[in-house]
Amino acid sequence: MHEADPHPFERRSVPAWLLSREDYTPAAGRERFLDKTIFSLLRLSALIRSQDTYGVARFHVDEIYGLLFTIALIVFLSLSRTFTFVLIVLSCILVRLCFIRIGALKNILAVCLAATIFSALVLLPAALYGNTYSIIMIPSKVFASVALVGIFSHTSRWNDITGTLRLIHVPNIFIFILDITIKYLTMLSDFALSMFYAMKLRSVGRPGRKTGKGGGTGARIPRAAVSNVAGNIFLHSRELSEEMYCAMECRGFSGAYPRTAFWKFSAADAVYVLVNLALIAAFFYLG
Amino acid sequence: MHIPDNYLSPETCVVLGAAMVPVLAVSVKKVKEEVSKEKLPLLGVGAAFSFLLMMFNVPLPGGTTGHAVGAVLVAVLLGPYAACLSVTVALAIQALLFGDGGVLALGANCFNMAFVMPFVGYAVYKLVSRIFGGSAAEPKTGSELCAGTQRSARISGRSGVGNAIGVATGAYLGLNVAALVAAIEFGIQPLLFTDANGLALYCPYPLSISIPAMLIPHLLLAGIVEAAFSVLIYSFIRNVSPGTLYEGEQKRTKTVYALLVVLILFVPLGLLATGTAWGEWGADEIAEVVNGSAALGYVPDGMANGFSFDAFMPDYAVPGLADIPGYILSAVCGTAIAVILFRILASLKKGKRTNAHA
Repeated sequence: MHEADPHPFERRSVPAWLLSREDYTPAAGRERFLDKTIFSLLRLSALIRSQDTYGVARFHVDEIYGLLFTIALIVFLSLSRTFTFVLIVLSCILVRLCFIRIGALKNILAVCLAATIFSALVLLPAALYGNTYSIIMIPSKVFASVALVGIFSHTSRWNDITGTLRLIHVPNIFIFILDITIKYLTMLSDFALSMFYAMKLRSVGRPGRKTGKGGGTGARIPRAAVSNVAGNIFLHSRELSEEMYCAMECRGFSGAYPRTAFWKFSAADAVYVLVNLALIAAFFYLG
Repeated sequence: MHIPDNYLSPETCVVLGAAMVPVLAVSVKKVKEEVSKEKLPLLGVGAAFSFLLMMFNVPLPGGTTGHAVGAVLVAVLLGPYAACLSVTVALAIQALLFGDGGVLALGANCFNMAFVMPFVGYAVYKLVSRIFGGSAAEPKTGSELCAGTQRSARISGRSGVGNAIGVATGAYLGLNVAALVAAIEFGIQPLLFTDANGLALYCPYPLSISIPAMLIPHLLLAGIVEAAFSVLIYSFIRNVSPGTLYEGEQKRTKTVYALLVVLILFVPLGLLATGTAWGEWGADEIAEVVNGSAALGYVPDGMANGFSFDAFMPDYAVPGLADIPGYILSAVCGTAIAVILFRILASLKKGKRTNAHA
């Protein structure tokens, strides 16, 4: 009879409360706010991090050429009075878009189409009164300009762009602020992210109270906790910035951004420069 | 073979357009099931091929021009349902951007070139290549995919010739059946739609004129051009990038794109053929067109006062540019739009899949 029960000892030693089924279901909605915050932070830091791969893309063009020719083309596009030039630029943009990463492609097209449709809507009354020229010309120019900026921003790293801004005589202090902002976005979003994770871990199984009135358990709604996180981040960032500025000064930073890196000139750069020069030549030829 | 607006009555356009709706719906469903996410952008390449081939006009006997369609080629490469979608997109780009083929007649054009042609051509291809010992049954299932060595053997040798014969026959017959259907659509117009004086409202030529006028040049020349183009491109892709045809084989997308670039560069050859294709005259031309013994002498009412649509780049010309650069620019635009469109569609499919798994 004894053989029927293979583990009599273990069976007896387990306390009854451990054997009872745990029936905890997290209250719906309570976690949603935290999750949403965490996701949006993750998205931000992922966006910045993903830029690190831009440099190794097959058709990567040095930011200096990208910046110069993007600005030049936008100026020429707005100056152009022939639809032919706009069409030529548009076809080049379409070809470039064929080879861009699919995520970037969708982003660029969404922004471009929104801008184009909006400008077309604004011009619609003029078209109804017979001015059909501008309803084709201006939205096409808007599409081309927005696409050019989109392609540039999606194919170059923000850090590299700040370096090239010096070339077009943007004051040092602007570049400094921009540079630090971009760097801090990643750091501080990581910092905030770990605080939110900590909060999420510590609030598992707590009854969802609207306010902290009950006391005792110290349950707070996450909404209120966000201000704590924000305050912490602010304090932390102040510390960090002071430390960083000191560290930069120690390393000889005087506030100036000289462009020290050598100008690379790869095959992709050559193609890019040639195509753009041809486009600018087309502008002067066609008017 | 692009039927312009006002050649078919709005009633005919609606009927044929309505017929295309279930065809497209089934095609989308089939493509979703059969074509893998990685291969979906190839539909864009197929649309680009079709778009470019349609730009190579060849002069036909009788002073008109014709062109290849490439629908059977795409059907052989990607399956008839994929070809249906690809050619539909190519036709839509042509109609909306370049004014080639009518906007109202888009449904009719799709019916001829995106439905009749790829399905007829594909059926003929399968039949003929089986007779000549080709491997018309493309491996689709997983178990067949594993038999890689067998397939490599099948790709070379005798089956290649059999398949090439199949592609040629399929392309030739597919194009001609499509031309026949288009001719019938033209020919029934004067029977059904006339004004009080008995003059035709839309296309003025009855079946007795339209069928020989469409079919003879297509049988004599355009069909052969279509077959030649299809076989050349098919053999090229089969040798260079078999992965495009058979899953698991070596795939060289770069080479396929390079072929597109070469086609774009040679597209101005299509400008050598002057003259208008049969059934594609403008309202200003049609009165002087001689068919049979006498010129028509009048402009059908439906054409004179019909629907008109101003395309972005009418007749593949860019205002302010010479013919050849304009033609190349049109080819570049059309190709790029087709590729971008299907890349976006492919990415949408991916999104749905991950959602289903999550």
